[in-house]
Amino acid sequence: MAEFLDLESQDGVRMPWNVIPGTKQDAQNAVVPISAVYTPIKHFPSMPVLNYSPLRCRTCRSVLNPFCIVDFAAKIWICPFCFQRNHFPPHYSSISDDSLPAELFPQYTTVEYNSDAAVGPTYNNPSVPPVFLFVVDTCVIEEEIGFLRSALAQAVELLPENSLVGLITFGTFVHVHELGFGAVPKTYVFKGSKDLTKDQLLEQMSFFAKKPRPAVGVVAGARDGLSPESISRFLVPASECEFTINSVLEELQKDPWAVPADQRAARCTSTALSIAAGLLGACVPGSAARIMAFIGGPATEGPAPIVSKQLSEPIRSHKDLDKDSVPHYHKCVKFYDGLSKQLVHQGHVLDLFACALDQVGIAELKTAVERTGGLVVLAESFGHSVFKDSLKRIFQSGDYDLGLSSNGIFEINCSKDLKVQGIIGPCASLEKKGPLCSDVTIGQGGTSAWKMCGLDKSTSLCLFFDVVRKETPDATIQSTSNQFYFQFLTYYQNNGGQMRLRVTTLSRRWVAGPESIQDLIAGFDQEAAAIVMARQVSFKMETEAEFDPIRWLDKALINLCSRFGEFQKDTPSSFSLSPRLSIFPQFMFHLRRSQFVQVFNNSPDETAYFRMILNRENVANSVVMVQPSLISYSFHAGPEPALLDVAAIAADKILLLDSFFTVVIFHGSTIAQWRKAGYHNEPEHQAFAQLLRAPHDDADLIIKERFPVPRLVVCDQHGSQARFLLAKLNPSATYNTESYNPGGDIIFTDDVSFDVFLDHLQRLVVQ
Amino acid sequence: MVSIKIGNLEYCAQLDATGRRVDLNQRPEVTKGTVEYVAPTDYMVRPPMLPVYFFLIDVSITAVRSVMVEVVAQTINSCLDELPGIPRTQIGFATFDSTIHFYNMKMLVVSDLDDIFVPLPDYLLVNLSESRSVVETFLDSLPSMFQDKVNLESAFGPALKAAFMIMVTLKDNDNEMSRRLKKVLEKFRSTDCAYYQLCHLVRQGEHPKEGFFLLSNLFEDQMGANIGYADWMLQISRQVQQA
Repeated sequence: MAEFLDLESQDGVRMPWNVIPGTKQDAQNAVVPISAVYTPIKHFPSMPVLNYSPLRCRTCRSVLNPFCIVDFAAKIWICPFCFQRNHFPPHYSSISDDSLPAELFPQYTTVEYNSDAAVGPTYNNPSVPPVFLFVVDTCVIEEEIGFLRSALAQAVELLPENSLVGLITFGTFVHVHELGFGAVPKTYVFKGSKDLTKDQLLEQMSFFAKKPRPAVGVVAGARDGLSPESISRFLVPASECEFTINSVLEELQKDPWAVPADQRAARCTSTALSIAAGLLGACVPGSAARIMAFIGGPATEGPAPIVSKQLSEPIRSHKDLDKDSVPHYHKCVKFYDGLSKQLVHQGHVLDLFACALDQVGIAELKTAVERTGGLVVLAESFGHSVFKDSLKRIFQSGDYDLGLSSNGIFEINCSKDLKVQGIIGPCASLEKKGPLCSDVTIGQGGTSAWKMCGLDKSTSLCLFFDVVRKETPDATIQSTSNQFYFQFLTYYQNNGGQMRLRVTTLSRRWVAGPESIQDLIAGFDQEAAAIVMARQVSFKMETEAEFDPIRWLDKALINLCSRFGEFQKDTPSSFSLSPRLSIFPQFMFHLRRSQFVQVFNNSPDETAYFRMILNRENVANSVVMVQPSLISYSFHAGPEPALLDVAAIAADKILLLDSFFTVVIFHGSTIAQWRKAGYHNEPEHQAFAQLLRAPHDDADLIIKERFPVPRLVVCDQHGSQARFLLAKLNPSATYNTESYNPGGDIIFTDDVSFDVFLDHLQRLVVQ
Repeated sequence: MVSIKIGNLEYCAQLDATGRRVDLNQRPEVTKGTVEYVAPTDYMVRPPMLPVYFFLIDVSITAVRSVMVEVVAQTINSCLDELPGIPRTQIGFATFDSTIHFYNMKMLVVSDLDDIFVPLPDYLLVNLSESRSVVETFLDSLPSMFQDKVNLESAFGPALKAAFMIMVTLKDNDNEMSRRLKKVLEKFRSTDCAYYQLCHLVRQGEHPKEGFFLLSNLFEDQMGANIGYADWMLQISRQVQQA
């Protein structure tokens, strides 16, 4: 376990199989895919930053790395991916055993190249300012408008000094605010029910008022005839427009159009986002730009309404999706798929802040946000701390800086016997086909290069590989080539505006045949495996009709235990798993009970939200989503980890549950009684006051460093809010159980407990 | 003494020494062939409509450079006191070049000329007395707003249509009665499109039954033009009062 964390802290990679099944058959028998969860721009304190251009293989374009074989005498290096012999250029002439460039150091498997420095100090490369375009929903009640106003005013204050700001408000109509026009506040108004083409948008926004438009070619940006004055009408430096934008925010009003009593407000979300994308595409293509959408309710107008205005028509639920009785859903998804292609082409990001008691259409928007690497926050109100603190986190610098970056391109090279199936994560295919691509795709597949318009320090991609080697090689050959190599290249623009190329090169041993079981087990990372399975099952639930996730997970677990467990046939009690696999069944148990698989109790928007976060977080955070952490506090001992089981509940204990989206502080009944009696306010009960304080301090630490900011739930045993805890606990004691702990609790459920689950598993495995 | 019978009212006046009526100078109806009476509220079916003045001002380059915009702004400003109907008068402005600009504490630009629409349901018309200072400030700053603009086009047609849309009672423009009226007219037009223009039903009064009676009378009067417009109005008025 510890060695997998070491690998992650060096390269940002977690792989389920760190010793890789070497043939196609072995890979299939392994059940858990050959995959990697990679964090492309994870922060490494001691990573070298090289101020020169990388040396690349002239055949496969991979970068010089520690696994290259170097002939110092002949000044030649051999690429481990395609075995091409490459000559060192003249400025590497001094290379020798005693004089290695950094990228050849064995411990520097991850390095970063600073492209700007490589150009040289004489080149004046002004950093392109980041762009923030706020798209604000005004079809909300006055109170919510007030919350939004103060949140946006704070965000504008926290913006980087050199950034450009734009503002679009929408309701029945779309208002594009001209912040750069000084004398009179001015907006361009568009009908919410119409979908404009980009040319129409350019014309109607008077981008060619002073000079004729070019006759041919794609029109976008200053180089194509748009004047800087035109652009600066709508996108204004933050340092110059604080007064103007605050004036506009002060005047922000609820959408003025009357809504009949039997109807929903006319909210043209899709038109507003389309106009925002068109505006950014016209003004700043290729620059770092984010559309930040603040949505307060369901879209009912325009090309992609998720529901009609009639209140008699309910918003789609999972049941409707399953039955395919969703009149708007597919049209919406298609529209947003087109929008996401446009945004990816422009290199722009769509962030989504959905704050409403009802759904807003996250399920339909998921494609656009994920493909562009956007952030997503789901809260009940713009006044809720989840929204307010999350928005603040985005612009916060210092220790908890998110490290928002942009214009990422991610590329993979790998050994010949491996092929790339695809990526599940916040990226979009660049359609770079080639021999590296597997015919069997998953997620964004059929390519070896992806666009990541937006990424941050913890953005993690789940990469899937296919082993194509068909036969076990002879023992003589195996001794010379039992390594698979991977190289991940990430070009990106960091939040300081610098262009970087990060290169991570890995090697993993492969094994083949029946004798390789123990080697495979020794290299198995249970946590990474659980997360890969979670992403895969979520993906399958969304893309495969009639897919049964519970059956699929159970079958996978049975097959894995059959292959890697030790047992005598037909003797369940003989079953045992290596420590490397022993908690994996527990992960699967909690995964099949998690909100990623059990969608009954959640809306499609909530499910889409949970899955978007799962698909972008690293392994440690994802594990918390699948199997929350539980800590117990009592007088008798300091904080200690507790089993995620209803048996952990006791009258004299406080529990702290972290399920990533929610942090729950749960007081046992005796503790709750004492608190209500006010004992913690009395001087002689300082110990009790400290006991009450401890879980709050720990919760604050969790909340402070997490994005999106989790919701804090403080509750008592038998209280209604306790359901947030009970839903996550193993129901070892239910109303069907004959006996249970006094002072403990039971869960009213028919779900099987982990013990029953494990018992069934054992019996099925040994058959 | 001369006695004049007006309806049931008998009115008389004394004669002076020369034989002329003593009230000759106070009663124009006795000496003039044509007179107008100011109707008291007893004779009004409903209060008079609010007077509405909506100014469409061309701000294309020709208008700006010929100083027309400046002159227009000054002239309107100087005439504000003379607009009839104060203190109930409503006033509004829009300017146009290649786009149409509406005003409500800010400029709202509508550039879709093929499908013109009004960007706000209210507040594009304001009460002149209550918003006098805002109106004057607007007119003072109008010339400088467009001083640096270079816009050759002038979209008068769409602007006129927009002005009409504003001056029509916006909230009731697309109301149930209007929709019903259109259906009836479309039915008639299907047989004879030379007559029966499509229109919105714009309420001239405040009684909700007026629209209903208009529709039913129109339907019943399918022979067409048996009675004149004035008789129509009298009939509706009578029906409303009886209802």
